[in-house]
Amino acid sequence: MKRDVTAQAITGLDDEWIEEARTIKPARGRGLTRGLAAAACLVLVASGAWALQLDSDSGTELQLYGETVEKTPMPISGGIAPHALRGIDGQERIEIVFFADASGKTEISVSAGRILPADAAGDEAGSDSCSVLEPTELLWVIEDGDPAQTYKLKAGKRTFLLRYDQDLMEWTLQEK
Amino acid sequence: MEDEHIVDLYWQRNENAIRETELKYGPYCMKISFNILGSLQESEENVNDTYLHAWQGIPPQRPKVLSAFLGKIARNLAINRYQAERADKRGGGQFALSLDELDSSIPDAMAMDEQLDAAALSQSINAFLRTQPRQQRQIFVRRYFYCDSVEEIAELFQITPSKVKSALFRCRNKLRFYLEKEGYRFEA
Repeated sequence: MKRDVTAQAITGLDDEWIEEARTIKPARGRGLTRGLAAAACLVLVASGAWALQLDSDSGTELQLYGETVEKTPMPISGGIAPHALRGIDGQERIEIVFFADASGKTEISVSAGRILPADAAGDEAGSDSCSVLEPTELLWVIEDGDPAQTYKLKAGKRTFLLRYDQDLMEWTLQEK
Repeated sequence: MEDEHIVDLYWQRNENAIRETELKYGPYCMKISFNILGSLQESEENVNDTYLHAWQGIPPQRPKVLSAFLGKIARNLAINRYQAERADKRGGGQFALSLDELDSSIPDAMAMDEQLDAAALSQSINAFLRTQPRQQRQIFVRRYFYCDSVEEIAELFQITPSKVKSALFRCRNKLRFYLEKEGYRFEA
């Protein structure tokens, strides 16, 4: 009886969840060809994570799922649009696809990991900083995310914090 | 072909609807069937029955998410077939394992004030899943709706099997806690 009810209840899950789980794409190996990826972003090989601020930008916004990242922590796999970004909790590779709404030359840099074009090929190395000239979708990868750490991303003069939220069991992003 | 056009073919009673369904969702229905039945031949029969039921169901229905519509038919038919042909047996296969795993997270009928109702329980599980991070929800659905093995899920998400097991364990515990808060009672 109980097993029958359980099976029926699971069959009755929302179409939304069934479709969401059907359309998962592998976490790695995504993307366009290297050539297309190279064209998608101008990656500057910088010597340090916190390079000189070369831009005059004062307000580049970051967006996840089309929503602006504000001072309230936003789960990085929050689920408004599938595949827009991806995060894996614990000591795991973290991948965040974000949209830098730049309106002029903007320096993007991270305290750990690397930045790549959002559709970078699997062997694309990336860098800890890059410069974009216009609204651009980028991928931030941290190979061994440590939940005890707070990671920083600078977009122009704005700073964003990536932290692991123990209650949500998820990485969250917020503006500092 | 877009799902909307396939559904239109069903409504026009055009038999190409079946062909297009098979082309687009044949492997998907096969996977669901096989994960429950564990037999290629039975799964093929089950998929054919799925097309027949879709043909009989559309019209009058006009599914908004054709994949989920077909997936539910395939799953239901496969479960019925499984129960009919394995009435005396238990164990074996991902379907049976997935039900075993969920056992402690689902209230017992005897512990309920009213008879356990699958539709109400389904509604509660849906509401619970809405509160979960996307990846945990996807792992839950891959395991308990699609009956994927832990190893398959680990490969899909590029995480370790132990990570999947841990995520499922946490999710089941949270589900139990959620259902208790909803008023479901569990036997000690």
